[in-house]
Amino acid sequence: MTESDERHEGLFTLRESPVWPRHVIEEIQLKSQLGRYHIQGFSMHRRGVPTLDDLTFVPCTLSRVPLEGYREKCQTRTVLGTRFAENPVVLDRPITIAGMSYGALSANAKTALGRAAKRAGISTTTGDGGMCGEEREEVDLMVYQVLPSRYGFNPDHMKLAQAVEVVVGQGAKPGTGGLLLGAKVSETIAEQRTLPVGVDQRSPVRHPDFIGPDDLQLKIEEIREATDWKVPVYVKMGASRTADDVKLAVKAGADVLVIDGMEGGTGASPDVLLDHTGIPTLSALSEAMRALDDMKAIGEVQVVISGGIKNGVDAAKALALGADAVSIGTAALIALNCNAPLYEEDYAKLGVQPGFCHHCHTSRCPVGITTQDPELMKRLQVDEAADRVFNFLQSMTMEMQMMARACGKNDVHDLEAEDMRALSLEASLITGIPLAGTDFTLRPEDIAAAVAARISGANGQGH
Amino acid sequence: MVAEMTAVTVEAQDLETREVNRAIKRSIADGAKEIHVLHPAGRHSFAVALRADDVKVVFEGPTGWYTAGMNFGPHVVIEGNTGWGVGECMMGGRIEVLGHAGSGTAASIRGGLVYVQGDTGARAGIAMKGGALVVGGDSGYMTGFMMQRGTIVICGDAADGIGDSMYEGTIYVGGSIASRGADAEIEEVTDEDRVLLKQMLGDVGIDENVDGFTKIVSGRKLWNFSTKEPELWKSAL
Repeated sequence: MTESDERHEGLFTLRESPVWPRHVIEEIQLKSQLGRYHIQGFSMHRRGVPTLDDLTFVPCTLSRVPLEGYREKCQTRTVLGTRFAENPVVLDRPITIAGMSYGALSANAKTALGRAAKRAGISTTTGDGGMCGEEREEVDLMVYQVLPSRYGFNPDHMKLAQAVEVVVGQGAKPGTGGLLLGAKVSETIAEQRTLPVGVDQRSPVRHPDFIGPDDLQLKIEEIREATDWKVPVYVKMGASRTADDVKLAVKAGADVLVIDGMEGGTGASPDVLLDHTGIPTLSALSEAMRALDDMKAIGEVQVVISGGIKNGVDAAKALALGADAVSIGTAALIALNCNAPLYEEDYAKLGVQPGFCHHCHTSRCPVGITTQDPELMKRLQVDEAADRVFNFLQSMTMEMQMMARACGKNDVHDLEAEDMRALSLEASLITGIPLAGTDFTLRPEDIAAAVAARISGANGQGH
Repeated sequence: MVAEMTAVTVEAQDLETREVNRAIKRSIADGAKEIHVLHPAGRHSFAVALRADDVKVVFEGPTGWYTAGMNFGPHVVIEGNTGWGVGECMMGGRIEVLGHAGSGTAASIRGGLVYVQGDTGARAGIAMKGGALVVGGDSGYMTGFMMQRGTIVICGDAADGIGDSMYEGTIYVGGSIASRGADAEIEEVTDEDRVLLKQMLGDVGIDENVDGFTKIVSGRKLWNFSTKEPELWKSAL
C-alpha cells in the first residue's frame, strides 16, 4: 500500500473535521451558489450561550414558608408605563405578544394572536408593516410600533393604540433593518407598505427623522404630543451594549424598555446576524437592571424582556431578575402550530422536517403562519389557533405562579434574585447570583468586598 | 349656538409645547379656520397629528423639529426656518416653510405637499410613500433615500447620493447633481413631465423655466437580488 492509497482501504471510521463540519461545508457551497449571505427565519442556531436555564429556583423548605402550590392566590397583574403616561397599560399577566409584522405573518396568524391576547388580558404588538386590521378588531390592548421603515405607518392607527413602541432594533439582528423577501410581498402587503409587488424588501435600520439618543428624546416628545401624553412610550432595543443603551433610553424619556436578547426570533435574517450579533437574554436583562439601578430608575421605568422565552419558568426567572414582563414571539408562533408535525410533505419540499423548519422567509410555511399564500394561510384555523395560544399563555401563567408560590410569594412580581441559584459559573458571573453550593459570587465587586472584609478581619485580629 | 370662529391667535411665549398644541386643537374643535402662533421660538413638535381640513395654522417665526408631523389635512405655514423632520409621516395637507428646513424634511410622507422656500438638509424626502416635496433652493446629502412613491422637485442643486436605493417615485432637479446614489438613474424628461413641473411649481408660486430639469427614477436593479450586479449590491448593502 502506498502512502497515497492508504485512505482507500476502509480502515478509518468517518470523522467530521471540527474545523470543517458538514454544516460549514454546506454553508460554503450554498453561498457559492447564492453569491450573498444566507438568509433564514426562526431563530439562532449557535450553541453554548448562557440562558435562563442556567439558573434554578431555591424554593422554601425550613428557612422560608411556601404558599399552597395549587390553591393559594398568586397575583399576576402587571402595569407598564407608569412614568409619564396618563393611562398606563394594565395586563392581566406579565406577558406581551412581541411585535411581528403583518407580512412576515399571515393575517390569520395575527388575528389568532389578537384573539388569544384579548382572552388572556394581555397586549399584542403591530410590527414592521403597520397595523393588521383583523388583529386590531380582536384585541383590546395594542402596542403600535414606530419603526425605521414607517411601512404602513398611520397616525390614526397610532392614536387608537394603548401604547407606542419606538423600535430602535431587535435581538435577532441588532444594528440591521428588517427583511421581507419578495415571495411574501403580495399585492396586499405591497399596498400596505407602499412597495412594488414582489420586491425583496430590505428595511432601513435608522429612522428617517432621527439618529441618536438626543434625537430620540425629541421623537418621544413628539409622540407624546401626538397622543396627548395619554399612552406610554416604549423603546425596544436589540441587546447589544445594553447598559449604555438602557441609560440613554431612560434619559430620552422612555416609559418602558423592551430588551430583546440575541435568541430573539425573526421572519428573515442573514444567519450570521442571528448567530453572531447581540448578547444573550440572560446577560441583557442583568445588564439592564444594573443600569437602571445605577440611575435609580427601577420601578419608575418598567422592563420587558424577550428573546427565547419559552415557558413560564423562563418568565418567572426573568421576573426574579427584575423584569416587569416578558414578551414572546417565537413561542407564540410555536403554540399556533409552527413546526407542528402536519403537512409533512410540504416540510420535505423545503428540505426540512417538522421540528427543524426555519423557512419563514420563503412564504411556504406548511402550517399557514409565516406565509402570504392564500391557500397555505387557510391551514391556520383562527379559532383553534387562538385557543392553542391562549392555552399556552395559561400554562405560562400557571408555571410562573407555581414558582412564586414555591418561593413563598403571593405575587409573581415579588420573585427576586435571592430566590435563585446559578448552575454555572457563567450565569453566576453574569447575574451576581451565587453558584449553587456556594454562598458567594466571583464578580469583581464581590471579590473586592470579600477581600476587604478578610483584610479588615485580619487587622481586627491583630489588635 | 357657538359663534363661528375664523381667526385665533396663540401666544406661545409663556406656554409649554403641550399647552400650545392643546390650544391649537381646541381652536380647531371650536371652529377656527386660521390659527396664528406667535413666538414659536424654534421649539419642537408643534401642530403634530392634527386631523382637520380647511384649517390654516401659521407659525410667525422659526420652529424646531417635527413641526406639523403626522398631520392629516391642515395647511401649516412656518414663517421662518424649521428643524428636522418637518411634516414627517404626513398623510395629507399642505406645509409651507418660508425659510430653510433641516434634515429628514417630509420623511416618509404618504400624501399632501411640503414646500420649502429655501434649502433642505440631508435626506429630504427619505422613504416618501406618496405626496410631493418641492424645494425652492438646494437639497442635502441623499435626498430621496429609499423613496417609495411620490414626487420630489429640487429647484437648486442636489448634493451627493440623490435617489439612493429608491424603489419608485420621481425626482426632478433644476440645478446640478453632485452624484446619484445606488440604482438612481436619469430618464428623459417628457412633455408630460414638464407640464407636471410647471403645475407643481406654479402651485407654490414659482415661475421658472423647467426645460433644464433632470429627471431621476429607480433603476429597479435593487428590487431583487442578482449575482449579475455584484458591484451594485456590494455598495448597496
